[in-house]
Amino acid sequence: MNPNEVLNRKFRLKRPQNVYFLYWFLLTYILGALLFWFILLNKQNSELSRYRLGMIDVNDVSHQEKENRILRERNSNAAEYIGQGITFILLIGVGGVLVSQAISRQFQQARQQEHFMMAITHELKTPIAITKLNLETLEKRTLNPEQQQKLIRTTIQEANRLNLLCNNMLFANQIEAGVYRVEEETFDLSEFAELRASDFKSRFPSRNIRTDLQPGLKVRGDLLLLQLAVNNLLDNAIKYSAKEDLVLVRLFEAGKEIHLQVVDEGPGIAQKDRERVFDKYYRGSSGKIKGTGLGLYLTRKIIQAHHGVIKMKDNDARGSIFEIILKKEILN
Amino acid sequence: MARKLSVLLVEDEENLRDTLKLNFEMEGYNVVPAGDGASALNAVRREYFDLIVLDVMLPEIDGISVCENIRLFNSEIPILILSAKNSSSDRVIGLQKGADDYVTKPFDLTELMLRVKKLINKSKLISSSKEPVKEVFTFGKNNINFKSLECTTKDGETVALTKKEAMLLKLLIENKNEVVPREKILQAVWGYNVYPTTRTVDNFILNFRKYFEEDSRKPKYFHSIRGIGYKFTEN
Repeated sequence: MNPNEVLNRKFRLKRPQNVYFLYWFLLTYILGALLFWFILLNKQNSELSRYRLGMIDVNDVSHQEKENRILRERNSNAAEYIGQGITFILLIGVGGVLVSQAISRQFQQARQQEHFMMAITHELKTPIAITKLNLETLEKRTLNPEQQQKLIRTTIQEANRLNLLCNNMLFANQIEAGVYRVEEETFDLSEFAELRASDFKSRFPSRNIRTDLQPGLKVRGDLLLLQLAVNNLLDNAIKYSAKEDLVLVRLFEAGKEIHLQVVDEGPGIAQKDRERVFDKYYRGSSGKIKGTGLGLYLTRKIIQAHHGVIKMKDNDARGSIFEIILKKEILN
Repeated sequence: MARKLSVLLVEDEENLRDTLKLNFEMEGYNVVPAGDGASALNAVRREYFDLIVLDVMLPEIDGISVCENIRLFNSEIPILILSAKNSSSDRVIGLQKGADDYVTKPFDLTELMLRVKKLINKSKLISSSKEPVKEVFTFGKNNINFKSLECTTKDGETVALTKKEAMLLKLLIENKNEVVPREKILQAVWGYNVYPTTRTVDNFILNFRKYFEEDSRKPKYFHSIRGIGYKFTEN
């Protein structure tokens, strides 16, 4: 076997069928053995009582009583075997179901992890490829100032894209390890939303990004985390809609809540995918959606950490609305 | 002036597509950009290209399916796959499905440009390496003189050929026993890079059958291959 095969075999995910086969075989064997021992014990019990019955002297005055006692003992033994057998079967059954679920979950996680690694490869390599190509072009060609500006701007865009990806991955790791500490402060969400939108406007000058923000809305939260959450939503809106489509950031107050919406005019999200868009590593059922499947998962985690809610609904015209609902900070 | 070489650039990442287009144009290529598999396939059916640069992870129809699909009706156009997928099995699949070269992202600009140039040159060399047709070509009772632009038909008549008729005859005879796609005929004889939906080629073939076939309903020499093109056979 060549070294490549050895290396790949070690890391390749074993086919789940083999494990399932082994598991069911073992379970059937255990149940079969249990039944076998039950029959054997019962038989032994009957034979023993028959032997003891045979030993009784019929001339003994208490022979009827002895016979009854032996029969009672036999029945109570049989009941004990049945009781113990059923308890065993129940325990094995519950254990079996739990183990089976755990195995399935493990495989699903491993598969997701594998897909995630593939997705990450693409998500990392594309911005690197663009950055490299842009820089090589700047180095090798004689360009006019406008062309140079465009190349520099797109290179910065790609660097920001890599940065967002790194932040998502690092944050996902930190919350999974349970080491992230939320640092809360009170800040002006209206100014914050304006800043986020203008950041994207400068990064994507050809895109139609607008804001409709009610001023002076304050919230309490972790500025860095909320920035990551809103960046993810804006990034998706830009990524999944056409160049000429409108991306709108809307902020308004309703009762004690503040609603922050990111509205796009993209293709929208299929009905069957809506439940799962916030799941980790989920990238649509078609398998054709690019990305890592981390963005919306983290965004929801962040909003939940702020005791808020994130919802996804249809835009009236076309596309989707992602809405974050946070509690308003009431200042004394 | 020589015709500009044309490249179909299939890439869904806008920033990458724009900079690649700029580079190809600066090297003197004519570039048609496509952002997804479906528009790439449409472009190939509509237009002549000297080379296709094809990304794999495209929305809707992926690059591998696009490549496979193109090979169903065009086996000659060089295809270079440019993909972030870099495992050996990805490369093998790409090459198996009909790509001529596979470059992984991130790539070196100079190397990519060189590979493109070499692929185009090689495909031009292959298509021009066919045995040249002699000045006078005889088949059955017929005779074609490519120099004097004349032919002797099945009835022994001498008919003058137009320049386009002679070019088409030459192209079909050069590729005898092989199907020449309609797109290739339009590109080689009429110089169309964008394919019109005309019956021009059909009318030419009808004329040839009138000149050279004993029974034009059961052609022996000039065969139409439905949906693809035409074929010349000597017997």
